[in-house]
Amino acid sequence: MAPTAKTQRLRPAAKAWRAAAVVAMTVLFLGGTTVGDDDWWPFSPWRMFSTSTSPNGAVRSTFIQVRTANAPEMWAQAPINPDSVGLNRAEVEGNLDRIARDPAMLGTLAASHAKLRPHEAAWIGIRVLIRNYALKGGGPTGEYRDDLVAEWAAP
Amino acid sequence: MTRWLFTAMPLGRLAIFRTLVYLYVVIDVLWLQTSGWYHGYVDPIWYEPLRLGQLLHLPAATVVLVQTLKWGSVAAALVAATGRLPRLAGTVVAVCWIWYMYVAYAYGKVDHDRGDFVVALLLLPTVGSAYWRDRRLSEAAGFVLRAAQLAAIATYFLSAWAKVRFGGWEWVNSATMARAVVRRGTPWVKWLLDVPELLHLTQWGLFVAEMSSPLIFVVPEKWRRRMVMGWFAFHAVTYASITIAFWPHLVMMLAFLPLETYADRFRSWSLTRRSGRVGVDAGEAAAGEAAAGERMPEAAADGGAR
Repeated sequence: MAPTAKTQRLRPAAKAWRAAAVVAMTVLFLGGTTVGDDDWWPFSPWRMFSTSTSPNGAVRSTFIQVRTANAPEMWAQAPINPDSVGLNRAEVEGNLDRIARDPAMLGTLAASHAKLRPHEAAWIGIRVLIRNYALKGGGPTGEYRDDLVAEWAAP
Repeated sequence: MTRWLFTAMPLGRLAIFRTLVYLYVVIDVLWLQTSGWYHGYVDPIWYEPLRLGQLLHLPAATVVLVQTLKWGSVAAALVAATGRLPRLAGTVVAVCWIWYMYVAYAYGKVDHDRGDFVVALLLLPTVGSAYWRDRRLSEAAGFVLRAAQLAAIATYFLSAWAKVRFGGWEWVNSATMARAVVRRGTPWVKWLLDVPELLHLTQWGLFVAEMSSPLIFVVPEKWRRRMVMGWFAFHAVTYASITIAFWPHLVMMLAFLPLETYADRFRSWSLTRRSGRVGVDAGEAAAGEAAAGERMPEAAADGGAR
């Protein structure tokens, strides 16, 4: 269907500030990509899958194990999900250095777990481990090694 | 350049795009990006203010804050999706949704697929009244659609740039895709790990496609649509392989398409189908179409585009 009414134009001033907004956002996005980092969000670099992985290195995957009030002697794998501890795995992974320095941070996960899942057994111990899957020629070899990052026990 | 940035486009296209964007906001907040809501329950020790939060002194999340932002986004988006109060409701959506995403990202992990959607939410309120079957051409509408296109393509181009910056030029020869398949691969793509050459080749293909993505603005219209469809196909395969989809970005890519034409085709198709089933003649079908036109949302109250 052909346009039936006349075109709605913008006044020069309306165009000027819109163009200025585009220039400003362009500068911010280019700045974020060239010198910025994640904390520049929403102008942070679009770095999805941007890191290089060595074809003969290792793929690291973080997980947590917990001891519960029901089975205080046993370490069992527990999910790192928003609906279990309020955080997801990548958020815990992004804080591994802080957790290693201050394992008490893990105690707050037991607290948020108690708030989000009040009917489950309370966590009295938490430890974070990294599983390193070995790669060879860009494929996994089937071997892995676990490294302990930090451990917390309820006082 | 200015003329290109302000190419007049149909208000109907903008109105449909706007409805889709705001309906997506509802889906996003309720089902797709829910980590902000859970951060209301997390100890503030995990809060790591981003620059935006430092600038605006945004506090750590609380349950009350995340509930307000969540339901504020939903309520305002439902109003804005109907085309009513586009400036007011659109502004409320922009503030609530961006803040809600800020809460989601200020705890150690930032998603990298939402920069372009932010641009759309900030600019959509600059267009006033527009309804789905609006045939008028408008420079204000054209500007918002153009800006959404630019932001969507910047996502590809600048992500290639980020790969060079963070992964180095050797990114194309690294095992990034193998890593993604190891960590998140669906059962039907695990076989890819046995043919690392194919994953390697895919990395080259993706990098070249992203680097050359701005060409979409200079090719003829027919090829532009094919390129958009190509990107949609790429995202569909990605989703099937590693269950990652950049949903808000996919909505942004719709800014390239003649949505009002698709809506017309869909309308006449559904009318034909309906009239075929009940056996009415063509005259009644045409009358039905006229009636459907009168049911479209009225021009919204808070002023036309200038």
